[in-house]
Amino acid sequence: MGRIRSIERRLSFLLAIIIISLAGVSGRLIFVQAISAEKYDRLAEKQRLRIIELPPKRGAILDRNGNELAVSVMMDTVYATPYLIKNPEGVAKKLAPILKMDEWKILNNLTKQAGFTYLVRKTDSETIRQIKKLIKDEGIKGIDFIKESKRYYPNSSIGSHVLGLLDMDNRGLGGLELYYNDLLYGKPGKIIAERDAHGRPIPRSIQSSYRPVDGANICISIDREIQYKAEVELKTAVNKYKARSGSVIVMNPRNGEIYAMANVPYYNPNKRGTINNNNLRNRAITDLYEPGSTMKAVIACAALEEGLCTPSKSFYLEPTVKIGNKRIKDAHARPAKNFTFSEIVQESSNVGMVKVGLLLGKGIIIKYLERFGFTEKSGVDFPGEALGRYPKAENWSQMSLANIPFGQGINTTQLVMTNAIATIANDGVPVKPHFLIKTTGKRGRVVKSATILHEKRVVSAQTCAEMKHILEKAVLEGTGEQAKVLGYRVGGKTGTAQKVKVNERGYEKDKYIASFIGIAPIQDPQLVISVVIDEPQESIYGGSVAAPVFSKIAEFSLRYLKIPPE
Amino acid sequence: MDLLSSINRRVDLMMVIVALLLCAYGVIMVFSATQSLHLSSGDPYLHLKKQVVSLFIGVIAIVIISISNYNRWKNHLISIYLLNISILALVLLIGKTVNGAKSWIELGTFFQFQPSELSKLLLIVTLASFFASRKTQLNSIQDLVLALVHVSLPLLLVLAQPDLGTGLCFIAILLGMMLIAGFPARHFAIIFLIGIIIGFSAFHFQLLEPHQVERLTVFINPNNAPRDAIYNLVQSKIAIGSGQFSGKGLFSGTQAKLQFLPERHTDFIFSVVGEELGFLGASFLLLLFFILIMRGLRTAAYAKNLFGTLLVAGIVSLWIFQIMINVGMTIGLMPITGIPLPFISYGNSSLITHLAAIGILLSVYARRFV
Repeated sequence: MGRIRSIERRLSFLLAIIIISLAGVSGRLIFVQAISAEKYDRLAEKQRLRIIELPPKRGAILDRNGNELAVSVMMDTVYATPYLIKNPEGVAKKLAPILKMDEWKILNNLTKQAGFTYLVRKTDSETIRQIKKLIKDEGIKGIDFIKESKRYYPNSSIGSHVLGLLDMDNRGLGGLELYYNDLLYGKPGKIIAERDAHGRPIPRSIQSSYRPVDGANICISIDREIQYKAEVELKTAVNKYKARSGSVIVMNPRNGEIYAMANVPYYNPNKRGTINNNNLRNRAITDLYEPGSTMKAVIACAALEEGLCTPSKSFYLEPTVKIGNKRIKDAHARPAKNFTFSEIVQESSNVGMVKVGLLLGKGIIIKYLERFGFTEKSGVDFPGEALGRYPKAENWSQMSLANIPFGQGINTTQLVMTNAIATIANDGVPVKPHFLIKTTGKRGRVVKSATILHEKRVVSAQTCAEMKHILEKAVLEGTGEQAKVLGYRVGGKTGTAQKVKVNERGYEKDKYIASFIGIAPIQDPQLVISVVIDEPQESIYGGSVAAPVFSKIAEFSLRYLKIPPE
Repeated sequence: MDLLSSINRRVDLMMVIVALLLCAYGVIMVFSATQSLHLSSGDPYLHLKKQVVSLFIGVIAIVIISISNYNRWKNHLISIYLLNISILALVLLIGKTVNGAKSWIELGTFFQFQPSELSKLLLIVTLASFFASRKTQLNSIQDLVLALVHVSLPLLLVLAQPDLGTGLCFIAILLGMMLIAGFPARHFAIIFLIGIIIGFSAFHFQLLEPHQVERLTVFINPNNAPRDAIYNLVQSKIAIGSGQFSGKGLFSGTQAKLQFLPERHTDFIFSVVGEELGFLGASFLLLLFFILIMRGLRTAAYAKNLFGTLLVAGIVSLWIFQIMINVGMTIGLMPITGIPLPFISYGNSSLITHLAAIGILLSVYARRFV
């Protein structure tokens, strides 16, 4: 009897072991199949699905008249399916001279543990012909071809900074190619195929496939002819004055459309090897500078709008004025004499502008800097726009008050400065500078068109009319005489700014930025053109270096746009 | 009604039904696991056919064994033991090497006989006979030594194949039967100590192949394991985990079909169950096993004599061990030791052996009053 009782006790012990281990296994099963299930599911999917992307054809970029600025050409790409290649060493040896690549690099590709590897992408037809011949002659299996779209810029360097660049997979790297990448790129097609443990795709197991949707074309405000003229004139001036760089913006002050935006140095987007950090930048948007005397037009506007000055208000100006322990003088030495307010702007007198600035005070100056858009980015549809800056109200020194009215101690981009003058041209209503006019889909259907954002008026039309009159006189009688355009009335403001020292306080002694921003025609503004030349040699003045560039571009553009002469 | 209850008195119907359900489950899963696309060079139904034939042989074995009187085996201790030793020795002489182990004897082209599977049952019978015929209370050190000697001969023979999995099964059988036979706790402690010493020296003197050590230790720290060693475990967990609650559907398991899962119809069949039938299917399988084992324990308690109890205890211990190690291995709880899942894993000798074990249980059950 004792033995039977003992057996029952021992069987219960065995039962306990069973139940404990079963509980352990069940618990673990719940952990694997419920708690971590999603993780394992993802792993399983990753392991067995191979996604082959079919690149779409990228949309074209057209200028405002429909001329092609950037197009996509379908090119041949050669790929290999490594496990299908019987004799990778031999194939690599034969391919090396055709592809002009190292044999071991090709062999590396051919022996990859993958079902797909590129051999050469977007290559020329001669290479393709030779490879096809080789495959046929040698009976090689596992090498195949697909079409990929390759970007081509038919006008080579024209507008290159605006257009931007692509990477090898046709995705935008910079410029409008980047900003509108989503529109231009389209939707890649996909083949989702199952593969087995050895990486082999399984025939007839394609799970789904989507055809690629080609990207939309975009039409931008750039005018190829004006852009070309701007580039030629800018290049000529930069070369003539041995300047470091230069930029030109041509925009319509009525609606903010940018007709041309040129920079020197520039690059040819079809020759990628020539691109470097120096020639890649669209300086007019991405770089900051001190605008110098062109800023005087903005401050003068403020003085007129606030009723503190009239064009004929008289100022007695000493040859220099001392602010703190710094002496401010005009660009050209002159004896003490009387200036009208208008003459201060025309002659670009720093001393006079300091007096106007003191008259306004920092409150009003800041108010108008904000109104003319110096506090923010312009909002242009372009990547990498820089944000200008000037001291905050509480940080203004006496120097700021004296400096900023003639464009020192304030940083901005050429685009924002140009836009401020465009606001004056547009009778006090700012517009938003932009490139995109419309997007057209495959069959020419307009997908999206830009809306012209008219913002709130910031100065009265009366003030702008007075200001435009002063700016016209600056060209007729003042510093901007070389900006004159035969047959048209134009106005504008010169700028000759000492360059700020890099990483140091103060200004460089003999490095200048010469600039000119003008309005044409002044009585019915159609164009605002700004020219900025960085570090010109021999001559340094906006009036002599930049104003002639304005004149040439304006003359061409006005005639080209069939704007009737006076 | 009378007929049913009279049958029920003589045959544990529940156990028979559960066993057949397990077999059906196994045959279906083996069929699913062998449907891999790239395995289809030969007859896609080959494994299924072989397994069904084994099932028939196994059912015949159940009938023959259950109607025979198990008590008569008790007196044939020596001849059964010699039979056991000779088949294990034979495989070492004329066996065919598969995956580095000499475990199979070719019987024609269709069947291969794996003596170590049958050996498990033979060992259970001889050990039960040995324990039951001892006149002592089975608590002396002499009893322990004799029991160890009894097991060590067949154990060494299977380790020579080498077949570590079956060797571990022998030890599980020994421990389970010693427990029920009433060996005192100190004897288990001694065995435990011996195990540690042998394990340590095996490791130290490199008696195990490096890949065996890797497989045994990979589940402890999967992150540090070499790629090959971890591959099976990772693939098994991916298969089971991606099955989630209700599975991907029978015959639709991608991991098994696409050959990511290794040994899918043998050692890792549970991973196929987990992937295709999910937590529901895996739990149902575990439930069937649980019922089977409970019926086994009930039979052990009902047995007329100690010999019967020990026979059943040995079989139940073997099942518990194989199920827990196999399932545990697929979900990262236990080391990877190549122990098949009873009734489910593909393997002719294994299936026939476990069905014969059902026969023994039924024989003990039927003679519980006599």
